[in-house]
Amino acid sequence: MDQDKFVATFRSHLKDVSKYLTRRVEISNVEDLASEIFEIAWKKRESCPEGFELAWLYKIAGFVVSNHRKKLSRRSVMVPLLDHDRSAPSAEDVALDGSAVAEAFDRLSAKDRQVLSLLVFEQLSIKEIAVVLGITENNTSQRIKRARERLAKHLAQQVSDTHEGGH
Amino acid sequence: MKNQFENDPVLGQLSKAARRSKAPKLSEDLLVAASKDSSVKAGKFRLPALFLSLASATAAVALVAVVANPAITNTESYSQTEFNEDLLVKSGESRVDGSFMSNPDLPGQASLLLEADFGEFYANKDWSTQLDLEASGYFLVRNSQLFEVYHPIDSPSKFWEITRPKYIEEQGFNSTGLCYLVEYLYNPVFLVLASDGGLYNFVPKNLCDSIDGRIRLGEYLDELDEALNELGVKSTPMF
Repeated sequence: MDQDKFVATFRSHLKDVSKYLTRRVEISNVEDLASEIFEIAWKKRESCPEGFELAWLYKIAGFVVSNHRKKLSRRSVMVPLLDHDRSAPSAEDVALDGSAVAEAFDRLSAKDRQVLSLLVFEQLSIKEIAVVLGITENNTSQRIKRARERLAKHLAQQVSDTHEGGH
Repeated sequence: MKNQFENDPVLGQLSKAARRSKAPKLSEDLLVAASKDSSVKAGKFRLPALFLSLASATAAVALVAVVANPAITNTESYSQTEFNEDLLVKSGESRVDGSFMSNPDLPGQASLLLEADFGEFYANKDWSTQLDLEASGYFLVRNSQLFEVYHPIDSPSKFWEITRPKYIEEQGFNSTGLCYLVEYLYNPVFLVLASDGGLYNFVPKNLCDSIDGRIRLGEYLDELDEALNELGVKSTPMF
């Protein structure tokens, strides 16, 4: 892939990458991190799966956001060997406006928030999410199913708490 | 924009609750700059920190490994070449020292996972096939300071177990983190006790993949722990 094709391929995804980053980092960092993402994308362009360019970009973006957050928390670079993915947004990051939903979303694990945000906020397909997470479609579906169940459980708990509080 | 989850009572709520964020507009120049030689954009764009982190981590681990055991660099069965292969390594001489124990709770844990339909999700077909094992029903389980590969149906003679960190450290490797992964030139390495009594290098490539600094094994084990927790099972320390 030469420079012209690279620009042509990823031009349409600039907006999506910006939105993805805006949901996860301070707006002042969006441009710098986007530059970092596209630098990596350029260096690794030969491994980009055809037809899944945006999902592939989100995969890189996940690493970049994780790394950015690790740097912010000033942790050692040696620690993250088995570290958690830190790219998942919080309720605050995605500016959830319903307090019950925000609370329920925040109670999910980072992994659950990550997979639900890719599905609901980034509106990726199962196939695309599988590319982002580097897992099979079957595993992706199961992960979504379980995350959704946990969210439903937390939402129901919120309703129940509210109901009990009212009496 | 149409809410594609409007018929889903759970995801529909989540989708509706998200406010539309105002994302900054990114210029196409950013793509042009990213695809130029790094010298052209010196000062404006730094090298991705991820690459630097990986490079320094690799160098540091290599140094520690060599200092801990200078002979390690001459150990053929742990050569760098092996890690470039996309296959499980089952070669070299047995390293068994004969002092292994099994966690008595593992059969129950693995059976519970199977019964609760977690089986397919956690069975790792890739490496179990490479080990000439039946593909289904094998679990890699973290048990406190231990990794174990377990098959709940087979006889004890087919019990596969990754050994305890103390033994690994005695081999001149470094264990790290809660899970005592062994690092060798930044590649996680496991030793597995096989049914023939031999202890072999174990490189489940698909789980140990460390591309871009993330190791899938960590996620896999977290999910497995989560599943066990949901079933009300707590890990039992062995040592």
